[in-house]
Amino acid sequence: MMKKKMISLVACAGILVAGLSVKPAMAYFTDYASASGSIEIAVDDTHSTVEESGEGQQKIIVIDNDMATKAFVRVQVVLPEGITAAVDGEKTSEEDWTLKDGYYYYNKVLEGKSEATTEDSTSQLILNIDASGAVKTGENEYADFNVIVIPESAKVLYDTEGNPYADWSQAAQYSNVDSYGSQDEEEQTTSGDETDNVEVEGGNE
Amino acid sequence: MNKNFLLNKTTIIAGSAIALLAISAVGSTRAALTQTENMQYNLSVSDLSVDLYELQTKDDKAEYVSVSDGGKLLSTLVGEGENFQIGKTYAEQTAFSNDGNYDAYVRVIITKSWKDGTVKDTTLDPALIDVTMSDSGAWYKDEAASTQEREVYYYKTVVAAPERDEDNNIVALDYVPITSTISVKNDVTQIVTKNGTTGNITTTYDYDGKSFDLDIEVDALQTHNAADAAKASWGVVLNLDSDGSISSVSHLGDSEDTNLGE
Repeated sequence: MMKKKMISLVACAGILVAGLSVKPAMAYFTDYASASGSIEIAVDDTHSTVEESGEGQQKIIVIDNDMATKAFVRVQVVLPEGITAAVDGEKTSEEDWTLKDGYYYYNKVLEGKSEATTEDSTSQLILNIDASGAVKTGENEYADFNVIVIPESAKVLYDTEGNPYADWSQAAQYSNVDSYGSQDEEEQTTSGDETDNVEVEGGNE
Repeated sequence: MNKNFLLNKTTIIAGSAIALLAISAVGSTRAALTQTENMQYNLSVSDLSVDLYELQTKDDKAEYVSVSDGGKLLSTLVGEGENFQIGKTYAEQTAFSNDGNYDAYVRVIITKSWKDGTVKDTTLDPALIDVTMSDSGAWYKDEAASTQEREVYYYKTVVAAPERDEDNNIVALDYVPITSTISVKNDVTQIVTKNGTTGNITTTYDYDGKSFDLDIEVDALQTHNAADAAKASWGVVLNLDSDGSISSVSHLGDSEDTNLGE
């Protein structure tokens, strides 16, 4: 009788302790998943130079992109009074060049300067200069005059659909930049750095 | 040993004492909290499971690819040989799915930042990185926890566990979209720093050569006892509708919450 009591007592104690040693819940069920990624961007100035050629009273203008950044370009041709210039419609691509507000806009984006592509230069803009209104200095003699070609470039910005457009309000600042990469503005700005003065001989009769 | 020794009172008591000690020692180990690099304490159990996917186009075919196991986001955002265009809205579709055995509440944390190489640049503005959600009505944005850099969204409805066949394989995964687009605003092309005031003034673009970084984390929580689970695991108070959907989220210590420490 005593033995049975003892055994049942020990058994109860054992069950009690076993019950206590069961681990209580420490946390709730959760899970997580994560990922990340990054993309580098490039922001830079634009810079362009003009290549001019042409004989007599025809001016051939090509603008080259000097930097790795893509750009929109436009040209302003400054003529003295009495002289006019007209686009040679036959040799100049009408869809490439548009005259607006005194500027000739190149409609396509100029790619960054590269050996691999020709898209970093514009197609030719050919102007016929009409010098008939030039100042006469004598019988059959005309004064020399300058034709000034000023290129401007602007960064290519994109709207939400990915269509490129140019913000020309920023263009004027960059057209007088001499160095590449960062913009160096010297205290004494030299004017006329970017203009190419060409003398066109008047007096061809 | 003879019978008398074994059935001796002393022996029995001593023996049971030893047995009691042995049993009580089992199970008393406790694990210390570990901290990961992200200073987060995440405990995952295989029965509750979520995964993160990104829609990637390969050979003109678009499909959801799991990115949570070492995968990278944004790897196929820009085409081969192309440069990232500032201002353009790119499609960046991510999604999560419940691939566990239990229904879950899900929240998503979207972190945007600028990096200089691998180091975060805190002087640049993450608000210029624009990430849009796919179905903003399906998410509750926790404004109190969100900043320009980090946004926290709670998926309002309970995400059900997927249907499984006889072999316990998932019949079809349900991809719930998270983000839909990403873009960098054109303002980055105008933010410059000028160094020097006389002589040579150097102007540099702050954002040139920097990388924008997108980090998405999906958290899942059990639905059973969700109120306590949310307080314990997420540190928030979930305000639930009658059908179990999250109507709003408040934080411990807010004046509306009167059940602290339950």
